[in-house]
Order: sequence, then structure tokens, then C-alpha cells
Amino acid sequence: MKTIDKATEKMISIAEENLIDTAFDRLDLQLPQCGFGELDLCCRDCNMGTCRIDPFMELPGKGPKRGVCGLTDDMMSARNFLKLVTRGTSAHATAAKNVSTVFKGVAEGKVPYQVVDDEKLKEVLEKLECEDVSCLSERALADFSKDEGTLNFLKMIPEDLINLWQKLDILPTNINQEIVEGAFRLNFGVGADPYDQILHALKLGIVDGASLFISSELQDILFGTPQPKEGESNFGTLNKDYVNIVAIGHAPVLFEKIYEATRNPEIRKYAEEKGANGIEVYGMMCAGNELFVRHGTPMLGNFLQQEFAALTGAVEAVVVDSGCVMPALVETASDFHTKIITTTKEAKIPGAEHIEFDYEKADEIAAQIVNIAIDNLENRKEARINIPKEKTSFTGGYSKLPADKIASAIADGEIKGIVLLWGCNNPKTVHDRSHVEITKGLIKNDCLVFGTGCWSYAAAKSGILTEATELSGDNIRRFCEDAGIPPVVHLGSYVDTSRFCSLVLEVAKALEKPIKEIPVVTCAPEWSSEMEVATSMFFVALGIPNVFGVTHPAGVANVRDILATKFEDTTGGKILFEKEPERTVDVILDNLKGRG
Amino acid sequence: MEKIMYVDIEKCVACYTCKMQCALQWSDKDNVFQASREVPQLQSRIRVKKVGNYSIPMTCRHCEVNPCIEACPTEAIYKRDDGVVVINPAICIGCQSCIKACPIGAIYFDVKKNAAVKCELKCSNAFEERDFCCVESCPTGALIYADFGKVAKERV
Repeated sequence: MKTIDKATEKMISIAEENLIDTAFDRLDLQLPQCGFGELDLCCRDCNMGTCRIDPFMELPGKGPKRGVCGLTDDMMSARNFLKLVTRGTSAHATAAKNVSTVFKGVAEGKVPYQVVDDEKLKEVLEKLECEDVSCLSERALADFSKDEGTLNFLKMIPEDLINLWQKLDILPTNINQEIVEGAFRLNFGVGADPYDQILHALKLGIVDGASLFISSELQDILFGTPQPKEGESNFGTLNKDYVNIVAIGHAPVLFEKIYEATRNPEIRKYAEEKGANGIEVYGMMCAGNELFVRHGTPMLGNFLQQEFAALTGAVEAVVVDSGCVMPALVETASDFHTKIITTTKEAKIPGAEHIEFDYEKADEIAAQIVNIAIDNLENRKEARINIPKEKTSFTGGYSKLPADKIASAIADGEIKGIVLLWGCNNPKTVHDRSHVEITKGLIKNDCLVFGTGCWSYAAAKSGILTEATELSGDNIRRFCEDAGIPPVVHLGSYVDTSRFCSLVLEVAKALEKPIKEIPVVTCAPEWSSEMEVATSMFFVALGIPNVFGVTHPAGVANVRDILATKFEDTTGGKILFEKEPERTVDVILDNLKGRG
Repeated sequence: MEKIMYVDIEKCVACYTCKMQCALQWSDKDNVFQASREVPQLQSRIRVKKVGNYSIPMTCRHCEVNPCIEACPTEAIYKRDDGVVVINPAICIGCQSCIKACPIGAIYFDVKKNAAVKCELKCSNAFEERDFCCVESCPTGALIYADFGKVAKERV
């Protein structure tokens, strides 16, 4: 079985009929995947390599147990782990930098964006001890260039924790500097001590977390703080009679403008002239979450479904920004009329149309992209339209969470704990299954579940967001009726993980305990991207255990031990691994039990 | 028609996938993570040797006529009914005669056990059901197990 989602299953067979290969097929061709790579025992960081370390007994007894430079297996594994975290952090840092730049443009009146949410602005200004938008934009951008003190966007972290981080020497100075140090440590003959490398990964985790806060706080100010709303998910939401635009990627800066353009009466009229009944933008992955939580647009599908958008034959344009975008989109779409449009200078794909996004000309560029989609409608072939019927209604987009009520429910033992499920899909495990099974298992056991990223789609499509109340334990049901939230709470995109972190901080404050004594666990059961490894280190720094599925991000036992045990006594966080969804629920419950 | 194992040395990139897969066959674990931690450590029965500019995977061909069996003074090496050549480690005295006798260098000496070890086709069902795991896992198709006639024709 490849997926538990009926629509995806149908699209896989349509791909097969059309002789188009998908991630599932390409994975088959990769098997068996290189065991040295899987075990972190491969290093090509310098030109003396490629080096591999033999995990088995080499005959006649002289297998390579060190690289040419003398790197041992755990040194290699720690370097590889730091590599993942450095790259993952750079993604969130770039996103945060971009939105900060836009914010500066707003302060200077140079970009066609404005402050939409005054209340949120006031809240953030207060938190950062700022007076106005221009001060806030300076504070945000300063986090990328300061040379003393620590990040402004760590103001929400309680003093005790800041002091602990300082003691561990993991309090970051500025975002760019720590990423550069991460890259430097990976240089020829630099970082070797596994524990020390992991310690820097922890520092980068904090940088990653601060970046998430910058993005979500500033995005709320610019585009509005999400309110719970009803929506629909899966391919069945595609309207055959519309000009359909699919947004894939992350930041709402571009996609908000595309959404606005599709609501522009002139553009709508143009679409009608071209024979469409309307025009809609559908989001996939984080972009879809961002659009949904603010406008209620349909959430089309998650990471592994992205290739199938073009295959429906009813999508005029797929607009991508950066991150989690499969280059395969172009090849898959080449057989259909769908245009793939890249917009980020760092994320071009050969064969795609590149329209570079420029904040100052955001409106014109968005209109240009939407017009390309409308003009492409005439190339659509009726006979090639294949839209699966599946669509599910759900409610999501929560941002205001009743922290005090949750805190007292934890203190009373009414709920066993709070759990965040987050992260990608991975064809190495059944698509969506772990996300859904683990969510079900947790609410049955009186845990309150929150979720972000591609988890959102798995939850929405499977119906657990609506059926959660029936599936939950009695305690949770009673609590949720009283608190006004469902047992399974959809927060939004990946950067909205920061909302969960805020909640944990508030709960800890209300209970007057450090986070390591609060029953909270996070879990990325179907992870693929290095971004998850980076953010998991933020959880470890905060004092939250994180459970990974699929495979452990570190291959060598010694490095796994460091991640699982070395920070338990200090921050209280750790990285755990469990492959099977059923057992993952037990691992999470065990960890909740051991805390507070 | 008789099938033979053939190595297309132009195609071998020394990725050691065959070695990894071979070692895994000797474990009851289904994943490399657990298998790599087994004690005693697992052993691969195929080796990739660098000769000049070429990398050559070397493994037992389970020959028709077996110099290794003839060379063994204790009859520790024998051919099973299904044609697979195996070593009985209880009888092997570690004299290494078989290693010297093997024309393709497919038998290795395990210093710790003081015994010879070789491919015993853990992965395949008597040449019939499926390819050898080294052949099956080879990402470039450098290892070939095919009809003698077909291979001979392609080599010309």
C-alpha cells in the first residue's frame, strides 16, 4: 500500500496509465538505497574522499573504520546531522529575512503591503518593546546582523531558559552568524567532536525557532491573525469550470497577492471572457495552509500529492516559491497543459517558466501570473480531465489557544498532555497513515493534539478534524466542550509551529514550572525535509522530546545516544525514533507520563 | 541453457551496494540500522577489488568443477545437492588451501574464526527463483547473471 488517501490512490493509477513516473516509482528505482548513506557512514566533504566506513566486518579483517582524515563513524554522523540542521535553519532564516524585508518596505511605504492586524501589531510591539512599525522592522532585521547580546525575537523565552542556554553556550548572537558557523564547522579538518557539533546544532535549533517566530508574527501583522474557519480539502475541491491556479511552497507574501489578484473584478471578468465560470487559487503544503487560515481557500493536498495537480488536467498554472518543491513537477506537467511557474531566484527549475517575484511590484507580478493561467485555459483538453471526487470538510486555522484552561486541565490530570504532530510525507512509509493513526491513538488516550504543515492535509482529508470528538477519550471530550477547541487542533503552516511553542510557554508560565516538567511531546512521523531536523533541535532546546518516524536523522548509535540522553538533565529535550505508528503512540504516552 | 555470473567491469563504480546487501543476508533483521549493530559483526561474501583503473566485484560462481573442493584437505568444502558450494566451519582448519586454489579470488579468510568464508547463496533459492542479491542490488548493472550464450554473444 502506498497511501491511505483514496484520491491519491486514483491519481497514482492515472499516472501509471499515462506512463508518468511519480515519487513512489522513483523510490522503487532507488532501492536498495545505499546503506552507507542510510547509516551516515559516507563522507564527501573533501577531495580526499569519498570515504566510507564499513559497518560490517571487512575480510580479511582490515575494513575501513576511519575516513582518510581519520574521521570515525560517530564524527561522520554528527557532521551529517549538523549539515541537516544548518541547511534546515537556513530555509527558515531566509523565509524570516524575506518577510522582515517586506516589513521594512511597509515601514518605508515602498511596497504594496500594509498592516492589516493592528491588534497583533500592538501585541508584538509590546513584546519587543518597540514603538512603531519601523522600529519593529529594524529589530527583526537586526536579528540577522547583531554582534552582541542575543536575538530580539527570543524575548518571549523566559529568563530561566535564556540563562540555561547561556550556560550551555547555545544562546545565538545573530541568525546569519550561527549559520555561517555551522557551515564553517563542516569544513575540511574543522569540527570533529560529535557532542560539540550537536551542541552547535542545538544553537541553530534556537535560531530556527526564532526564525519561525519572526515569520509567523510578522505575517500575522501583514496578512491578519487566523481565525477558525470551515474549509475543504483534497482534489475533489477542484472546480472543472474554473481557471485553476495551484500554489505550492511556503511564504504567503507572494500567494496573498495572487489570491488578491484572483479576486480582482477586472481579472475575474477577463477569466469569464475566456469562458471560465470563475477563478480560484488552491494551496498545497504550507502555502495552502497559509491561504486557508486567512481566506478559507481549498487545501488541495500535501507534499506527495504535488505531482498530481497537473495530472488532473484541470490546472492552468502551478505557481511555486521555494522549499519542498519537487523538480519532477516540470517533467510530469510536460504531458499536460499545466504551466509550472517558478518565482524565487534561488529556486529555479529547468523547463519551468520563471517570473521573478519582486515585493515592490508584487501586484503587477501577481496579476501577470494569474493572466498567464487564464490565457492557458484554452489549451485545456476536456478528454484529459481527471478530477477525483474525494473532498472532505473540516474546521481549522486556530491561533488563539486557551492556555490557562489547558494548564489547569493538565494540573488536574484531566488531559494527559499536549502533543504537536507536524512535518512532511515520505514515500518510504505509507502516505498519510502515520499522521492519521498517531492522531487517533493520542486522542483516544486523552491527549490534546495540535498539528501543522503537511500533517494538516492528512488530518483534514481523513476526516479526523471533524470526527475527533467522537474518537476521543471522555476526559478530552469534556475538556474540549468547555474550552471551545476541538481535540485535534489545526494550527496552519509549518511556521505556525511557533504558535504551539507559544502555547507551551504560556502553559509553563501558568503552571509555574519549567517546560521539561510539562507533559508535552512533538512528533514528525513522516518526515522528509532537513527543516524538520532543524526545528526538532528547537524543541530539544525548549525542553520538549521529539519523536521522528521513517528513519532516525542520525545513523550512528553514539550520535543517537547524544541526542537522546545528553540534554535530558539540562533542557529536558531529546530526539527519539520510532518507525511503527502504533508503537509511536506508546512512546509519546510514555514520555508524557514521565514529565510532571 | 546454463546461466553464468558475469561482471561488466566497465560499469562497476565501487559503490559497495553489493557488499552491503550481501552482509545483510546473514542477519535476520530487515533493516541496515539493526543489522549493522549485530555482534559478532556480519560479514559480506563479496568484495570489490581495485585493479588499475577498474573496480572488480569478486564473488563465488559456484563452478561446475571446483578447485576449492579438490584443494580442501578436510572436506570442509562441499557442493550441496542444489549446486551451492558451502563451507562447514566446524571442519575447516584454516589452512587457506581453498583460497589459493580459487581462480577468481572469491574465498576469504576470517582471522577471528580461523576459517574460510565464501558466498553460500543465502539470498537466492538454488539459482532459480531470483537473482543473487548482489546482482539484484547492483545500481549500474555491472553484475550480470544470465544465459551463457547471451553473455558470450554480448561480449563479442
